[in-house]
Amino acid sequence: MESGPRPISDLVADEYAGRILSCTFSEARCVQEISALTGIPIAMAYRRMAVLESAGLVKCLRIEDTSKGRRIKYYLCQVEMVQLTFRNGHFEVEIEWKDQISKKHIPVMTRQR
Amino acid sequence: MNKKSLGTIPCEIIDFLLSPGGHSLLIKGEAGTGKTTLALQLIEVLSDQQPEYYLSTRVSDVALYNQFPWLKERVRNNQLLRAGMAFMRRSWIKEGERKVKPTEDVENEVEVDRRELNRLEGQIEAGELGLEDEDSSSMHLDGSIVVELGSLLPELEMAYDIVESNLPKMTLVVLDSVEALAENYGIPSNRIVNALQKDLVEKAGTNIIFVMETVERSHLDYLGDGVINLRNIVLGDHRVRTIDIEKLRGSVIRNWRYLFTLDGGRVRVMDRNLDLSTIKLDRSDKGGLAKGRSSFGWSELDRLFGGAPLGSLTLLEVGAGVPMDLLERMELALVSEQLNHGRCVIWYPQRTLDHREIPSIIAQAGGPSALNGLHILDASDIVDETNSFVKKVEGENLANDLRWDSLKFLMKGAKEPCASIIGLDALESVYGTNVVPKLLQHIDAMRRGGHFVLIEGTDGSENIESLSHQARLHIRLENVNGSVVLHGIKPSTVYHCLEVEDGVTRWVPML
Repeated sequence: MESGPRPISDLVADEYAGRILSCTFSEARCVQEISALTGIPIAMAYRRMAVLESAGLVKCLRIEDTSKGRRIKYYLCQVEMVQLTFRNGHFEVEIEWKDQISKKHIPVMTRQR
Repeated sequence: MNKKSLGTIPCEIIDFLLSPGGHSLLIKGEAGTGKTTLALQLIEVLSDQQPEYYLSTRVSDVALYNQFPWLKERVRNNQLLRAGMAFMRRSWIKEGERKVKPTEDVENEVEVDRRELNRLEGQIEAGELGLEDEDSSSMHLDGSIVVELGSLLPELEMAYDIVESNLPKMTLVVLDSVEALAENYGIPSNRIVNALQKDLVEKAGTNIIFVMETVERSHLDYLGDGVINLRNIVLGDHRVRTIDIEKLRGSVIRNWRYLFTLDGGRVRVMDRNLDLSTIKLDRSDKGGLAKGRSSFGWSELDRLFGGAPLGSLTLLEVGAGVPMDLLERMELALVSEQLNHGRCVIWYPQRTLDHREIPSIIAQAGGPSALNGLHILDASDIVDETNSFVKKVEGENLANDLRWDSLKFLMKGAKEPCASIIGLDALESVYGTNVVPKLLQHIDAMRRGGHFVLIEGTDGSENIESLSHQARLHIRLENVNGSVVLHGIKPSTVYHCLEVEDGVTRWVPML
């Protein structure tokens, strides 16, 4: 999964993204369910989900068709653990994936305000 | 249709919504201006002709039922649908499937074009649409959730379904409010308005009322067929509600502004440009007056102010544009009341009177045929003193003309309390503007005798302010936007608007 360090470090600190990851941690859910469960506006939930998916933090597990002809995607969180550490004067996000194979250390970039 | 209900909402708005084709109407206004009340009342008025779908996102069921008792019955009868938690649970099928209609019905169905809605939902699904991050709370009280899979914007889709099921009959859809719904979805409100305008209003001929929390002008004003603004305008120390009709595309707007009040949970538009030439002021005593008060001869005025306080001055201040007919009738009501009780009236009229007409107009006002006790003071050069009730005065020295001993002589034999009714402007035109010191002598004499004085003055009078200090009761009549309104300055009261129904007058509080 190729993705820049900044989006991921931003994402794991983002409240909506955090809610989505929590909501899909143990059960694959569609965006509408997530929106209803977490109170995230539906449009916002879709936007966040798109970013989370592109970052590899969630994965579309299956697609179902409804009687209305709409395709419903069910997403599952791919992250087992996220840890923010301060080492050698720098913050770092450590992500442990659910597949238990890989770990990823991502430096947290300092924003210039 | 209930005619009384029709009369409480500007007819322009009703005509607009009843005219052929679909229309969108934006109801704008700040919090508490009556937007929801007006929207619900429009549903009520149009319910005989247009099935409705009411979607409320901010107001709870309980609050609505408390404010609109009639609403509960309609919901119980499944005549009115609304969103919100209770509505969702009632109206949605848990599995996310609608009941499938028999095939033969489906074949004959007319469908609503959902192009804009589908485009909107497509953009949402693609993650292309959204507002700045804003948290919104949609937690259910009991912790349960119901999700209709496949419905991205369930409330809007429900509106489409209801419109479709009613076709070819027109549906009235009310969204209250657009901003709250947009916030729930996390999309710009103009996208909702745009989709519904194109799909439902323009293609399916639906009437849609968008309740808007945003007061400022926006491009939505151009998109909507009609725009009305609910405002609170400040009059003195009080607020008065107005409905301002900004536009109603294709409809004639006779009056663009209406005063209204919220009367029993409903909008009540005030009458304008009343014909007061034929009204009779009801004098029936509906509860009696407190001791130390005398009737104005008009029960509605007695009801508001408890009658004229004895041993004191009552000041009636009249703003520009107040109909002369009303003022004359108020004077005649008081004169007739006094004469009917065998009391004396000293009257220096505000307006020139044709003395020959006096007996008949007093009789028409419910007064006696014999005018014993009536004394009209007249300083003009041409006075026909053959009328026993006319007393010529010099017009040079007010103190002399209102000398207490001569007035007391006129009062002799009459029952008490006596009243003097004085037109301040008329007095100033004859005696000059410095009339107050000499007038106060008369007022003091009347006070000491336990009688009462009513002074009527206009905005043009020089002495209203100084007399206000002397008055125990100070009432002001005004013409506001063609409606006659009244309020107490001393004691302070809310504004009341004059309503006439079947010749019966009523002062309606402007709440």
